[in-house]
Amino acid sequence: MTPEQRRKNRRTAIILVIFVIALVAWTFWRARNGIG
Amino acid sequence: MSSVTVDHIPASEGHVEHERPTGWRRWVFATNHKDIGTMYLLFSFFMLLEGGVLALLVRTELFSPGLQFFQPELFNQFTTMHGLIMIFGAIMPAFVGFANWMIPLQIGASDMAFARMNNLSFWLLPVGATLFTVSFFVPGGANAAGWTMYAPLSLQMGPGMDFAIFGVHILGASSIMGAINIIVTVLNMRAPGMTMMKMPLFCWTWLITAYLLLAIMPVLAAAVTMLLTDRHFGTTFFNAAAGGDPVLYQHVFWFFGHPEVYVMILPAFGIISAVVPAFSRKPLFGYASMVYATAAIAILSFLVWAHHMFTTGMPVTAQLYFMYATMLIAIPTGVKIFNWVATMWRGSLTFETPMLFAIAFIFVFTIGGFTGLIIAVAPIDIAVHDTYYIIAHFHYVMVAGSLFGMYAGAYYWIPKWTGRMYNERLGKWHFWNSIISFNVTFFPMHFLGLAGMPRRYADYAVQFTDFNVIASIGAFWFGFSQLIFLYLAVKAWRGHGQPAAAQSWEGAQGLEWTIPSPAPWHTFETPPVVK
Amino acid sequence: MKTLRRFLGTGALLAWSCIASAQVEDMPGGPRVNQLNLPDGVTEIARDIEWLHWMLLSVCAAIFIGVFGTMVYSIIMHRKSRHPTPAKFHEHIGVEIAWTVIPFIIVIAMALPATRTVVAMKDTTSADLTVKVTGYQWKWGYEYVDGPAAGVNFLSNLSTPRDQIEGNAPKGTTYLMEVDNPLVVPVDKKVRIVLTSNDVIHAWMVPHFGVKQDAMPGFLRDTWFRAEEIGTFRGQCAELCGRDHAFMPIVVDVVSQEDFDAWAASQKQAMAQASDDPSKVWEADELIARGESVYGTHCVACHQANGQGMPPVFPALDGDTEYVLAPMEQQILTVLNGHPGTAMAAFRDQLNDTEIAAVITYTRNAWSNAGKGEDPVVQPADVLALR
Repeated sequence: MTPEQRRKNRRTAIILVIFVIALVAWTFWRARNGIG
Repeated sequence: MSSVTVDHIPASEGHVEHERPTGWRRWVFATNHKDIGTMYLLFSFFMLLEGGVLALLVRTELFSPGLQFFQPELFNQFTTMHGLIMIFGAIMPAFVGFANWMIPLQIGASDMAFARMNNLSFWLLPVGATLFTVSFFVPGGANAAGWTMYAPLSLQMGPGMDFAIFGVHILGASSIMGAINIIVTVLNMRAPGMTMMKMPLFCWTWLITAYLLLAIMPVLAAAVTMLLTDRHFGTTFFNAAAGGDPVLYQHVFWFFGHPEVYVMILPAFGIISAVVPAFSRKPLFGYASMVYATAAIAILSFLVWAHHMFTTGMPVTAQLYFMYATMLIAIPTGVKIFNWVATMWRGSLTFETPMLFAIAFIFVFTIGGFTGLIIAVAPIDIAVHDTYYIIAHFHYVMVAGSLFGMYAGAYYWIPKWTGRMYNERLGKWHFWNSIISFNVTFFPMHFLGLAGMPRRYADYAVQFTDFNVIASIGAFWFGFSQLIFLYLAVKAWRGHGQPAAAQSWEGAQGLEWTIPSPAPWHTFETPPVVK
Repeated sequence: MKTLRRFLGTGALLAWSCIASAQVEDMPGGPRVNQLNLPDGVTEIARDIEWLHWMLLSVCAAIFIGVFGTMVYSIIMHRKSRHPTPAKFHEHIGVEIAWTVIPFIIVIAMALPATRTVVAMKDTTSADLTVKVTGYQWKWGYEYVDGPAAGVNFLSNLSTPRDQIEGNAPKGTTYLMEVDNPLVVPVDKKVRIVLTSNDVIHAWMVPHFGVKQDAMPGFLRDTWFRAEEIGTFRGQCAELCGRDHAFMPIVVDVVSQEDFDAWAASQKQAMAQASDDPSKVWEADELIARGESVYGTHCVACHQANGQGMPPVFPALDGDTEYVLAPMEQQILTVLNGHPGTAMAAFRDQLNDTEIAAVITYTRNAWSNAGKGEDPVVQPADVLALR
């Protein structure tokens, strides 16, 4: 893989990871009434 | 999918030369998509057998009414872990194995986008599977709350439940990483000229599946984490007395759970969409509609989760909405079935084992799809929810659907993977035994469910005996039939059988058939140009 | 040959098991032997569900035959040996639109009658009788909220003997679907079931009624049925709830309104009597304490807290020499049977022997009556003797 290809891949992956983290956070936010 | 021609460009991309590792290092440190794919497939077959043994223990107890062998607590551990192991240990990893092997080959890429993360994705699996297996031996035994782990029952379980939760976390993390890998590979690493609408449908279905996984696995992780904190850290997400709500668990779980079942079938749709055209010697009918239908199914799958909750007491408007939305999924699914039949129509058909499994898939998956449409109708679901009718439905779509789809793909691609044609006579034995014993096992369960036999029952009213006897006999027959596949797969892998050509099947299309059989360890180091 | 032997072996096994279970009979109000379809419902909702199922199954079967008839035709006529040159077509806009639009219309047609039934199933208003059902690990509790049986509550446990479950005794026809105390409801009346749970999620299911509803801890859910036939109907718990999930069935006795009223009355009496043992001998101060609370609930309105009453309509009990400070028989009989021609009601059905003994003892020791008169202490057995 060329460095440019690696950079493209990394950028796509980071976008997806941010989506995953946001989703987990949103799920807990929606369920916040049950905390404590 | 249009047929592709291949031109090699002289200039090469940077792939550092290295010695090929041997022995255990080759596997533990694997970064090669073919090796990792092989490991996924081996692991998942082993889990299929482990989950199958649990099913046979269940069917042994259910052979006659009364409690003969197992107390109900242990019985419920069997039914629960059978579900968890089959879903998270067998079906999902097997499809990832297919993805790892075939996606780079089909798009003309040298490997997956993130080869080292791929390694981690695989090696997390035995860890998670060990947690599941070991949970039987901790005090209190394994999780016995059903694979769905509803609160508050799951809050009552012993440490085995925590093992299951951590197992789910680990297997879920593996799935998320695998999904990221697949999305990035398919989006960024297609060979020049391989536009999205020229990709094999298997790549499309896996791309869409990967998006589904990304959206749902974090939600499952959240749900089981909430179970964990309710159990041990004083939270009250699901405790009504403290302001929580047990139904919240069901909503979060099924928001994961419904798209999850499409995760488990869409790759099979992709496999069938490769096998049927190959053995009809005719292009797939309606490629564009197949893509749109798959996308429609995936999007709709997020909007229907509460059809698993029709008896929880939701308001009438919600009941109606979820009924309508669920019934709508029948339409894109029907389109796909029609397209496969239209692909066969006026083709030139031969019936080697992959095609037998593909045709059986269409036939038996449609039965499961129809029972799905029937239970989408809320009043009918009220009658059969939590009965054997539901068990019949999902085993039709998941065993006859997903598993038979996988067998179609395995027989189709074994020549490419091993360089050998498997023994066709044995393949047909495996097929006929499987399809007949499958129906013997699961068809009577429709009757049991309509008559009112509930699920997750260790014992039943004597009037249900005969159909339970038939199901148990069928189950053992089906289980042992899978050993035929194991035998012939191992034989091919060890180099017995007719050598396979690069174009192993006369009608097969796609980049993977332009490289030798078995596929060389490194392929498409220089991307082909696709016209 | 091997396949043939396999089929014969399986057939023999099936035949044997069919013979072995030949003496199994249909369960009255429960599943029939080898039942293939939904049960014959005894409510309109159950019959609606049966009709919907039949309609959907027929449409699906017709489509199935059409599609797979086509596929089988293709398998026969387009196999390579018969059809060596494959066609090349791979799209057809008209056909693709047709087989998207027509199924869409079919689905809408299916959804219309289903909508009517969903709405009907959710309408729990205007019930004739309401029963609160509580799921426990592992039994059901029933409490009548209104009607002739208001206040009646009891637990309903599986009554199949352990011997049958463990295979040490032959299994009865109602194996696993029989209880000690069934739910009793009147026929042709809309019964609203209000559900909750004491611990985990359970589900109350009666197939012949077309009813299934989850019982959630900490919440109330409701459903309803109107049984149109007299008889006994059986169901089971339909949500995994732990070890004995399979051992907490539901039995509903649907009876005539008269039988229901009679049953309700006897239940109330049995409850009243069951709660206190009439042969128990009480200490004086226990009786007085108990009696004071009974007095406060049932007597104080007329006889007043100070026992002065409102003569002449409501006699004073304080210092009364005709009943309270006289031998016990008269007072007992008056409390039991009332005083015809006056406002004094008969309490024989409302109070049990212990309560009557207690309240009489209280009156004989309260206010200025303490230490005076005969029979200062009355035991429940004394009351029972005069019933």
